[in-house]
Amino acid sequence: MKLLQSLAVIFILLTILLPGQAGAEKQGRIFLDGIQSYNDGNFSQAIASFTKLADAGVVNGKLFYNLGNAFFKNDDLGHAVLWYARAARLIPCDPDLKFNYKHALRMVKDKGEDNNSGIVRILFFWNYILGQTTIQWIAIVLNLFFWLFMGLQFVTKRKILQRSALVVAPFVLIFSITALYHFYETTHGTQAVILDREVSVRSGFDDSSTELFVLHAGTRVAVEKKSKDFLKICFSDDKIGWIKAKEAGLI
Amino acid sequence: MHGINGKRQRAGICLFPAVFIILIPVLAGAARISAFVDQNRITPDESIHLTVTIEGGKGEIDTSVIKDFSVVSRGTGSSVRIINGKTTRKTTSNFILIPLKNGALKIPPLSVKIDGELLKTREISIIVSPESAESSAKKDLFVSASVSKNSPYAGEQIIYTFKLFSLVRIGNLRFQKPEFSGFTARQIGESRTYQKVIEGRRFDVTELDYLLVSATSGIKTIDPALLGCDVIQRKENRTFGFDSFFNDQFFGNLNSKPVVLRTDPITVNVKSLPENSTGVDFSGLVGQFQMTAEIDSRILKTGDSTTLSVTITGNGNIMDAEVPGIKVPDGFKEYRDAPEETIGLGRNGYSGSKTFRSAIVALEPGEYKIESIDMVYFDPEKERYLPMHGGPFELTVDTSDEAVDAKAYTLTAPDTVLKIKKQKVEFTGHDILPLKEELDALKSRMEISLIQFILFLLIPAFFYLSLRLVHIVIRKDLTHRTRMLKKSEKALKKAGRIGTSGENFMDLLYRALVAAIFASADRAGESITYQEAREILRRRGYSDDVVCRAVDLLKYIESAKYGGQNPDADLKNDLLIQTRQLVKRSLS
Repeated sequence: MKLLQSLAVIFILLTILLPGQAGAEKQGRIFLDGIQSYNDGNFSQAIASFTKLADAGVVNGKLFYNLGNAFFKNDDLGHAVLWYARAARLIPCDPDLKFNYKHALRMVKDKGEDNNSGIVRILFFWNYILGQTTIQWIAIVLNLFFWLFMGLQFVTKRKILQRSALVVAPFVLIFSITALYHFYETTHGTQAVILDREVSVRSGFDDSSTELFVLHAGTRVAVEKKSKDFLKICFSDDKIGWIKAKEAGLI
Repeated sequence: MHGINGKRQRAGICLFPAVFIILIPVLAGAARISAFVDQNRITPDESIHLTVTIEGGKGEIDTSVIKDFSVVSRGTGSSVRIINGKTTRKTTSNFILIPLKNGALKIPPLSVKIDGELLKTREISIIVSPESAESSAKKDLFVSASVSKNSPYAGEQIIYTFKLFSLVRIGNLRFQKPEFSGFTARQIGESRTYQKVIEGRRFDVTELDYLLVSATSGIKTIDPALLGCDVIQRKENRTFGFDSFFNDQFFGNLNSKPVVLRTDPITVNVKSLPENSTGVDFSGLVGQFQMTAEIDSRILKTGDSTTLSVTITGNGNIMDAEVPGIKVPDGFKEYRDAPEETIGLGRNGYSGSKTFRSAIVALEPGEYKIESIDMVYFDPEKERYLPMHGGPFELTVDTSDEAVDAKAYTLTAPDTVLKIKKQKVEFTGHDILPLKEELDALKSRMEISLIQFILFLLIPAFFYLSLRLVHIVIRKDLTHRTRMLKKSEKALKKAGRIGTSGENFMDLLYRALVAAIFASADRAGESITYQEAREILRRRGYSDDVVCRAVDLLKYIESAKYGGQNPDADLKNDLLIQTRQLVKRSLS
């Protein structure tokens, strides 16, 4: 009887664990295939492997970095910059990523006209040092401490706890707002990268609309509006227009 | 090439002089839809204007069913009319249709869904027939496209030229360049405008050039370029005698007609480069090039450096020039600098120069020779590979006066500081860093959704608020009796402390007793008369003995309190015991 029970438990555990393990093994194989293809110089095959993993829902800065590398080697600067930018959101301090991303950006033909980026980087430095997930967890932990101090202060009536809560409060606000901004950016896709080698930015939707200016692969733009097949993009204060949605990738 | 003058002539001889085909609107409830074109017989180079009107409703017109024409939207306008209190909405959509082939073409019924009901226009027939030479010769407005070479080599630069010839006034120009699929295209400068006489007529010509380079061989087709514009014409319907005065631009006696012009597609046969049989490595350059090489100094001392410069100048894909293979002798070390480019884009394509510099440092004394630098490029005009040479250079290296040999120096005098001129570290090559091969690249980051994040923020706040709420509720639930008993106990405890002054002691005893009496009646209060105390206690069913003791004690404490009496320790103790007994044993 006991033997039967033990066998039943083992069977149930295997039923639960094996499919997950098999899935992980399959993903591992695809990943290693991608690396092998890359090392063999078959970059389009490497792209296919890594893309399969990203499409399967793997959200990892290292995988995105590898995709950026594969696209770069495949002479697709637009997609390379897009994946590097996506990786930078997750692992902004990774030295390899910083190096390759900078190298790819040097290849971009369009010279950026945003003069405020330096100041913005200094003022909101934490946003460029910490990854999105890290910022979210910092906000959650600090918020927990804030309310813990408030609760203890209410019970014990000790002023030191109230002061501690007041010290933590601004940091809770800063990190929570930053995290919420990231959620907004992710869901609304406010930043995009030009994918095609050369893209005409037009005054309207159809191809007969006047071409206002031309952007090249890898150029980063702000997305102001999205319609079904078109994006209204802003390259700089005086350079705004419409492009086809497929010509740019949302970060 | 195509025009608008001939079109007017054909309209006169057309079997159907009425240009408009008005289709009977399909009635469906209150909504109606109709479609008409401005002409039904055109040449392949002309376009037609399709107007679709929707009355009494709103919906999107599906033009994807039109297969015989390329459709360009020209915008939508709407108007609202109120007649006898009834409001009617009218939406007019305009399209330009460019024929894709000759023959009897059809605009199939266009469908619009209004309020869940599908309405359709009627089918329209259009005849597209090749134009006659006679009409073509008399065009007032036409476009053309050409390439500088129809059979270029892969990598060779060719120029695509678009020309607009005009004898009429035009405005609102909208140019749509071809896709140039299979080519790398770049516009050369701005458009040029000049005049040209063709068959005795002086045309205004606007020219636009693109540089095209194809990296691969094969037959490639450059799609037609489209130019939309408005032709400005005088209105011809005035019949009264002030024509000469009012037929003036100032009085707005002009109207404009939208036109779309189209060039012919161009076929380019890109030839692959012939086999390189020169025995020298091909540089990848296609065009006309020259190479020069020079060295700063040929006599050096060990530790000295000299600069070797190789400059490639010419016309063609100069930007693709790779670092030439320089064979530096063993007694030297070479440090390559970033190449310097001066490249311009003109009517003949890319031209300019690219200079590669290398710093060569002499390490060992002796006589050396840098072999000649050889490369070949492909000249598409001469259709063969041509060589480029630079050098050779002979160098003499003497021993330095200071006999600076880093190796020897370190061995003989390790504690001596070697004076080395610091140099900024420059990149000598450019590439990206390798892949990240760790399998943790497959672990998804622990993603938090927006809802989860907000919940994480709100849950601690919720607990805090719950804590406060529970506190409020608990306080509210306390009865007067409990609170007054607590108050009484607190006062007794304070009174029992050593050092309490006489006046305070009496006050505390009074408060303890009064609170206990109120507690017995489940009431709240601060002070009480003897009569009230008696009534309360009797009503609560206490024995006469307890009532009398309580009232007597109250009287005594009150009189001692207000009389300023300072009881000694024994009396205080006695009063405290009496009050405590009464409160705890009898009244609680």
